[in-house]
Amino acid sequence: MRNAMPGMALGVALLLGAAVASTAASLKVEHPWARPAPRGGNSAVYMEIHNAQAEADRLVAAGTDVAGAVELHETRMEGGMHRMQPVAFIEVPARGKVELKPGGLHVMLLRLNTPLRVGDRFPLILRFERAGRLTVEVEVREHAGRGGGHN
Amino acid sequence: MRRTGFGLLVIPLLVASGCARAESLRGQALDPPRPVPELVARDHWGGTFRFAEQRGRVVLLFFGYTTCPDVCPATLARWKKVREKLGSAADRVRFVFVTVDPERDTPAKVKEYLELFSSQFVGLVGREGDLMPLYRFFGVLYEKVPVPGSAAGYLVNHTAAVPVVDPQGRWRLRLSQETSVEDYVHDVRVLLRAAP
Repeated sequence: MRNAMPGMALGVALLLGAAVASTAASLKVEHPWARPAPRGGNSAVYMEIHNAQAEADRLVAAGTDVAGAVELHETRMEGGMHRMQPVAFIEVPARGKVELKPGGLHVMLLRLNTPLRVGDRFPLILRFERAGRLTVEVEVREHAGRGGGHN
Repeated sequence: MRRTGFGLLVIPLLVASGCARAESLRGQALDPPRPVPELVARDHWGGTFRFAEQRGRVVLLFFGYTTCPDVCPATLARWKKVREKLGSAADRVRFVFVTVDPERDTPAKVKEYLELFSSQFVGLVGREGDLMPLYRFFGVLYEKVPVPGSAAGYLVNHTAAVPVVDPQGRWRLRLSQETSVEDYVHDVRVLLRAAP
C-alpha cells in the first residue's frame, strides 16, 4: 500500500482533473476534510463516498503532493484500546455509501511536506478500481462539518 | 418506582439525598476515587510537572502519540472546545497529553503538535522508564505495532480513556472518546464546585 504519487504524475492528473472527475460521475465524494498536523507529521482525511452504480467499487489508492506517502487505514476500538492498521482497499457498496470518519476508516497522510492548518485546502487524488481517478479538494478543519461528530 | 403510590413516597427521599450528596457525574466514576501518588514527569517546555502541585485544579489526561492521525487529534480538538466553553474556569483545569511513543515524540515535536490545538495544553515527555509510573497508575496499555510495507514504520495501539483527577488530587473519573463537549464541561464544573 505505498501509494505516494510522484509530483509530476500528480500535476498531470490535476490538469486532467475535470475530465477525470466526470468519468467517475457515478461516484460522488462529499465533505472531504483533514486534520491539522505539523510538517513532517501525519494527518487523516475523512469523507463520504456515494456510489450510484449497480455494482460495488473499491477505493484502492490515494495520492497528494502534501504528503510523503498516502495509505488507507482503519482505526478500531478493541478492549478499550485504539488499534490502527492499513487496509488494502475501502469498499464502496452498490447504490450506497461508505463513510470515512474519525475512529474508523480514513486516508492517512504520512510525512507531510507542509504543515496543515485550519482553513488550508489541498487536492487529493482517489483511485477507484472501477471508476478510475477522482480528484477532490480537501479542507483542513478541526471537526467534521454539518453537524458531524458529537458537537 | 413502577407504581405511582410507591413513586410518591420515594421522590421526596431522592430529593433529600440529592441535596446531601455531590452532583452526579456523567462520566464513569471511580468508586472509591484513587489518590494520585507523587507522580512527576518532564513537560514539553522543559519544566517539571508534579501532580502534587495540581491541587485545586482538575487534571484531564490523554495518552497518545504525535504521529497518530486519527483519534489523538480528535481528542485534542474536543479539548480545545471544552477549554473554550469553560471560559475563565479553564484556568483551573490542566489538559495533559502524555506520549506513549517517547522514542519518537521529542519535546519539540510534542510542542509543535499541541500548539496546533492550544498553547495551554501540557505535553509530558521523557524516557519510557520515566513515564512508566504514570502509565501504571492510570492503567494505560500501549503496544508498538510494526507495520510492514507502511510508511508509518510502526503504529502504537493505546488506551482510549481520558482519566480525570479532581481538585483533591484523586483519580475520580474516566471519560471516553464518546464523551461530548457538554458532558466534559458539566463534569469538570461539578468537580471544580466541590473543590475545597
